[in-house]
Amino acid sequence: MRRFYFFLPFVVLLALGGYFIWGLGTDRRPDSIGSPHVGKTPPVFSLPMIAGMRGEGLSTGDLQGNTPTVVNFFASWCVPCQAEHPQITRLANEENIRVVGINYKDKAEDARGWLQELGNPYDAIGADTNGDVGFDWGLSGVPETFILDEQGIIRYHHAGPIDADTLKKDILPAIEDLQ
Amino acid sequence: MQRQPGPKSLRLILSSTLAVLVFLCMSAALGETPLQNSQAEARAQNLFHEIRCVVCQHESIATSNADMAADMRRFVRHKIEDGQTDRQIKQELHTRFGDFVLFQPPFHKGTFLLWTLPFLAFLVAGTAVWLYFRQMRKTATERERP
Repeated sequence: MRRFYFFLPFVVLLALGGYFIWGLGTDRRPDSIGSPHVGKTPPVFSLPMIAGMRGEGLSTGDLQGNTPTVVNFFASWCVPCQAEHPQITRLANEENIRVVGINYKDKAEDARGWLQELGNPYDAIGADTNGDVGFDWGLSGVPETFILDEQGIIRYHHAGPIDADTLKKDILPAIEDLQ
Repeated sequence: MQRQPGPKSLRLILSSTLAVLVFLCMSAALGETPLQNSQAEARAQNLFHEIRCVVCQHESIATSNADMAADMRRFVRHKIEDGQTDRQIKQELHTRFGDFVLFQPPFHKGTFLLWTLPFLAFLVAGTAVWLYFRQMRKTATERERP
């Protein structure tokens, strides 16, 4: 019995240590708070296209379709959004995926310039100029990306930019699971 | 000899005036309008302290300078004006942002450990201490018998 008490602190230390080492893993994002929207229908919204650009805008009804839909929140003032733009473009070029964008708290001329310079990968864009729609989606920053299935239910959420690795390991498999 | 008001009351008046002025300046600078009804605004301020800023995650929206915190404060004030209860407002925020937004998250299986771990830890530690002292007493009494 004595021996049990003797080793107990070491066992607890090892267990905690192992847990902390796992916590330091590079794949973890400790500031990620998850999303309560996964598994639910998206918030109701209706947004116009960015002023000065051609398009119908974006509303909740547009998020159901023949394919899974990727909803990407972006802004011209957001540096990580620029960093992930190539991945979003790659995603948009994939077959059987529809990528739409919501332009968050942006000025029309800035957004137009940004898309002109980098390219416009989105099938449709909604201009959320005051951020109310982003607020309803529980955005804690940009970029954030949601993946919806064909019924329009949110199935996956990713906060932060999507790098090539994340695209390959997380996003594309998540979309495949929905098809 | 000059007559001065008691230093304590003077300090109190000056500091509270300063606090109000600072608050007004801050509100103006942040572009925030407190509610007209002072009771409603007090209610808003109380609520702010119970809601976590999702950007500066260690702060409440009462103190956070983040844009998002200002959005959240505006949302809370708007909902108070709409006549919603504190509970409803927190529920609305919870629907949008999840458990993390409330400093007192709801109790369910996902937060079960969060809520109970301190008590469990105390129980375990308390039991260990009790057993230790019991053991000490046993060896002490054992030694007393020749």
